[in-house]
Amino acid sequence: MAIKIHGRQLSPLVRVAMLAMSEMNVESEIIEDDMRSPEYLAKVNPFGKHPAVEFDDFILYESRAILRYVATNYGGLHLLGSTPKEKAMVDQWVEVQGCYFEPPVRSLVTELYFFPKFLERVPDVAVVEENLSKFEKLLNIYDAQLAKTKYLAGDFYSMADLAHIPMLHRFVVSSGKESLVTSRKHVNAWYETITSRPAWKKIVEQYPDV
Amino acid sequence: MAIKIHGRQLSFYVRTAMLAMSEMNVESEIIEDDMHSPEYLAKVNPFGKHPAVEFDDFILYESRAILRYVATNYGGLHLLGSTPKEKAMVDQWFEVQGCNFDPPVRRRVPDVAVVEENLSKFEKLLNIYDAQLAKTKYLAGDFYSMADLAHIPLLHRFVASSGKESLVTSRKHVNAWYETITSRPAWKKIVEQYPDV
Repeated sequence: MAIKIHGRQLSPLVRVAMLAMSEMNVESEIIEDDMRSPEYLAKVNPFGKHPAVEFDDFILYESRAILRYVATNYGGLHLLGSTPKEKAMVDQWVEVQGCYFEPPVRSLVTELYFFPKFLERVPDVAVVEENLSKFEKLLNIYDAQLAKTKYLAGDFYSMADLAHIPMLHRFVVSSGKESLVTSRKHVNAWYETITSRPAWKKIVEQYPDV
Repeated sequence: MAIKIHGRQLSFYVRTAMLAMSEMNVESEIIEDDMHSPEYLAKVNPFGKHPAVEFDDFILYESRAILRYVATNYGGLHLLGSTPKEKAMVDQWFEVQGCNFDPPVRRRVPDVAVVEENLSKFEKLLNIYDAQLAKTKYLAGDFYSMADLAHIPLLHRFVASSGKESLVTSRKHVNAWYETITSRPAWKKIVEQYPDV
């Protein structure tokens, strides 16, 4: 029976949950409900956010918590790291993704893709410039790390890399500013590697960009 | 040998690392270095942030990653939850702390509009917390976890110093939870060592 994911497939955060399932070969289905409805707030997620996922006996929200749960309980323990040090490095880069990567890149994707495409809204130049600058500084640090290790937490693919894929893919294919990624040798190689994973390609094929 | 924590004791995030050590009865020492120096960026944390902690054979940064590592490896596995569902709930509220709680509560700018906007966000958040804490003693269930721990330094600072503590104290279940978690000996030890000024 397919696991229900509440959210829209286009959302990068919902896609983190979808990708976690896909990596573990777990069937999932998308429930496109209204995250602000009284029913959703009362029964699914009081914070009024997507994704939220229905497991056997409870509902879980927060994309990174969902990812960790799916990896832990559906055969993906290797995604968490195998030694105490590896696990620490994975957790560290998962935090980096959530605290430093996500806010500016989400803002850029919103301004440069979602607003023009779906709301006929013009990007805020000041917001875009500020976040491009933050993202560039970040990518320099990523590039230095990825010159040393194949993936973020070491030479193994982990949930820290996975957590980046949906939003980074959206930035590269839809923002017009992909050169920030493609011009940085090690970041670009890492980007190509992680987005070539069959589990991700499956999602992009099922829901092609329009 | 005391574990070195890079940072200033006054910082909420540094105190999260200090509290993790304190809960596990692990001795730590504070190294107040310049997080922007080329040496720090090259050797400790390329993101130029505190805290960063020196363990036996590596340095770890990001306060929540540090907390999880200390809990896991220094006798605090119970802080992570004991069943798959409990662990999921801890991780969920851990994310809530990082993504929903931290940003509005952390802002200290004196800009009135920003303060008002963040107070408003924080009040909405506290309503959700109050509803949860009416059902469970702690955030993830009836057991103290790292999700509760991660709130303590910043929440304590807000209540002790913001002038807006009524947001917390006026909400019955949030207030009871706040009193409980800040009464823990591990936290009291830190506040006594570094009293509020």
